[in-house]
Amino acid sequence: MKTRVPIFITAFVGIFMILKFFVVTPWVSAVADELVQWGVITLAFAIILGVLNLAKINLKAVVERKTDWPYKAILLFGMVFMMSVGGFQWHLDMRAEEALSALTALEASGAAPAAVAAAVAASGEAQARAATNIFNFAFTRIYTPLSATMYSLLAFYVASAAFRAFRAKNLHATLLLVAAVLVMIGRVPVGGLLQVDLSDGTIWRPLVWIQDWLMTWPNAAGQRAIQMGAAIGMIATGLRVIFGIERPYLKG
Amino acid sequence: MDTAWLVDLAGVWLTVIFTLAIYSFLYRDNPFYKAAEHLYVGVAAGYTFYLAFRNTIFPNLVQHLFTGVHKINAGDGAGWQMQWRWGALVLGLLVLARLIPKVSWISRWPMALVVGAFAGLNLLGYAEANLADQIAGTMVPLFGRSNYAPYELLPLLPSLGQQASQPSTLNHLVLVVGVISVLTYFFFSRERSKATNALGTVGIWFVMITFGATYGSIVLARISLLIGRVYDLMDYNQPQYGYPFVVGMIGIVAVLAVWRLKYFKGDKVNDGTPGGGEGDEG
Amino acid sequence: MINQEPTSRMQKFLTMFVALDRRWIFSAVAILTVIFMMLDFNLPIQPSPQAEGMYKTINSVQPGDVVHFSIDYGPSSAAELWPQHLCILRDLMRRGARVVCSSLWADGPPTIEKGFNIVVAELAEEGIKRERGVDYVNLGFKAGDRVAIASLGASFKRTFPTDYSGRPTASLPIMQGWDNYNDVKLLITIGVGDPGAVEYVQQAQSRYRVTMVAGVTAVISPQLYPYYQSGNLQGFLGGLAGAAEYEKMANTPGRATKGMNVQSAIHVLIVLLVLLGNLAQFSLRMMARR
Repeated sequence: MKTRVPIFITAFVGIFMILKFFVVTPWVSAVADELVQWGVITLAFAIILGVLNLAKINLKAVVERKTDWPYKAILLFGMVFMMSVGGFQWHLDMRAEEALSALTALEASGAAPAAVAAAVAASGEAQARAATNIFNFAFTRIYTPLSATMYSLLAFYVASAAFRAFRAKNLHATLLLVAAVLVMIGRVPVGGLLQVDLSDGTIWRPLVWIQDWLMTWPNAAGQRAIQMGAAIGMIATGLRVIFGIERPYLKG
Repeated sequence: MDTAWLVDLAGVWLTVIFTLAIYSFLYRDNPFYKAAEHLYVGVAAGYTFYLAFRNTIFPNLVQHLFTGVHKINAGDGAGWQMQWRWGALVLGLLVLARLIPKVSWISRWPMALVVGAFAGLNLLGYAEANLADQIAGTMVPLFGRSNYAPYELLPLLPSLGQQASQPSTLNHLVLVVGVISVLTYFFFSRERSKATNALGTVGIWFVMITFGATYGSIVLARISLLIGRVYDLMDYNQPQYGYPFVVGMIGIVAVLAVWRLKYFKGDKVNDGTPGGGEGDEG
Repeated sequence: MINQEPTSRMQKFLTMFVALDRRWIFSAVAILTVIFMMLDFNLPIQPSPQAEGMYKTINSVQPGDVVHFSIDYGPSSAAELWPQHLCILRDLMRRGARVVCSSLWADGPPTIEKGFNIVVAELAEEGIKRERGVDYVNLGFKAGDRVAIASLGASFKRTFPTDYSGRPTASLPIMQGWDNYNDVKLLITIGVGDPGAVEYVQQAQSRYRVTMVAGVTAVISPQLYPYYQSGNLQGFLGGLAGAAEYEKMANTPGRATKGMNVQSAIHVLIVLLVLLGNLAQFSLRMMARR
């Protein structure tokens, strides 16, 4: 039960994903499509699991007054706040939908103009309430700045890391450094300020041109080889997983 | 004063305070950063929970099953086929078994489904987009006519007057040699001969240029994120809001100074980058 | 690193510079950003061939064409991707395409709403009316990563039984007459990572041979050059620089164009620091050898 069933499930699902591509029989597609839906729903449950797990760990820390428990209480507060605000938004959306379908039904039944006008007003009000409310506030004024600033911190670290790490110690490090510097300058407008007039009257922007060449040819070649290597690895792993030789789901 | 204006004012101040609280990490790890960080994790988790439930589980599972039952009651045979979705409900609930240690092993079943689906889909997707298409893309003419419209004769060298991406014999040679040499470097790292050694060395050069180009792009990306934040801070720094950026900045520096003098113990500088990073800054 | 005790004053200074405290660099970055943000000038921008390909593809869309516009980013990378999102959406809506937005990232849907609200209001001012559910739709978020993309290949309506706000998609006028990638004229993704452009190429473009372009962060953009060369992508935009190129071609200079000044300044600073750091290291090595 503990190992055989998962191996069977993986093989079954994996083979149907591949079969759908090669076999055009309707029932194969139907089974594969239903399995894909199951996958989508299972992954949504995995998100739910992750959040519940986070709640469990932090709740335990708060209850047991572990170190830094006040921060964990803030975390839990944020979580519950956002869930409730989301639930409220859902409620408002449902109200707006009800008002709209009531309006449509009224219009179809040919009711009195006054009744229709009232329904239009009610629907409009419900729509407006659903569009601007506390959920929008929480998303744009709390979640957005926190999330955006958290990632933008890396701007400072990337600058200082470049200063520390980019030292031309040997040929390989020099190649890396030169490519990075050329991309940094050639990719932004300041690189286009350096111009050379060619004999045929056209303007050559050496830094931009070299950056473009570097990206389109050597970089594309390197990236392509990396992607092909990854593909071969992925195909091998895929086959090993489907045939039950590798069992990643048994870990943990 | 009307409510909309007050909400706007509160929103602007919250935005600025949260932004500055997180930037205070640049000085060193401190309670304001920690509070903001934990709030972020909580809010993000709560939000994702809400949307995963509302946009996926509810329409694709709950509503789907209800619609199926309604159809059966109305005498529509299509409703029966929709009942297959109960399987997804069972698997979904089994995922949650992970929370109960005694039966957590059963969560392997739904995970097996996900692993199988990923394996099957990746196998096809990688084979087609990353292998077949890329091999085809590397089969470029080295001499003669280009395989792109307008099928002109390939020049030997790239022309400086034209865009650098214009095909030429040299450019195509760089592409072909680059791909083959990097692959050689990957696949012949163990069994080496003179030929593979030489080609592998060229491969490393290409890999280094590729990584350098990627690093340059990472710098571009990260600086853009900073620009976005500073845009917001400067936009909101208006007299009608009471200059939140300037006031917030002075406030946070003052509070940090007090915290440093009164409560801060030890002199360990936190050298780690904050959570959520991709760890790609080396 | 240099092991010997620094002797001369020059050596002392160079050793200090080589091991400069990161917070000096942080301060320099912050100050330069604020200063260049306040300066009002625009550097000339040269669109790359990839951005030109993107612009041409988007502007060949005909009225009524179904465009799947996948918004796979949230506020964390909005600084880079929102300018791209906005100018592409403007072009699509103005051209009268049927714009079908969805997201594989949970924090995408509110961004989709924001985009529609802005562009619909702009067009309304010009007298062009675009209606929700008829000309555009926000399908919301779907969990499932590439499994969700595979599901879209089978059926959009089964993958998204309702839109973001819970309206059944089967009854929406915009969703009539098509249901999978065979009838989608153009696939656009604005993506920050995985799932994003690469996953769409693998699961949708290469399988159904749908015309595709992508807007990505600068981090992802080097990975897309091979797909562009092999014809999987007709074009792509890389980060804020890509957005500035698009703004230039669409002749609507905005935040990205202005951001390029700051971007240029910081890049020059970093490059100078790198060059000076190397020079200092090199001089130290020379001095130590003597």
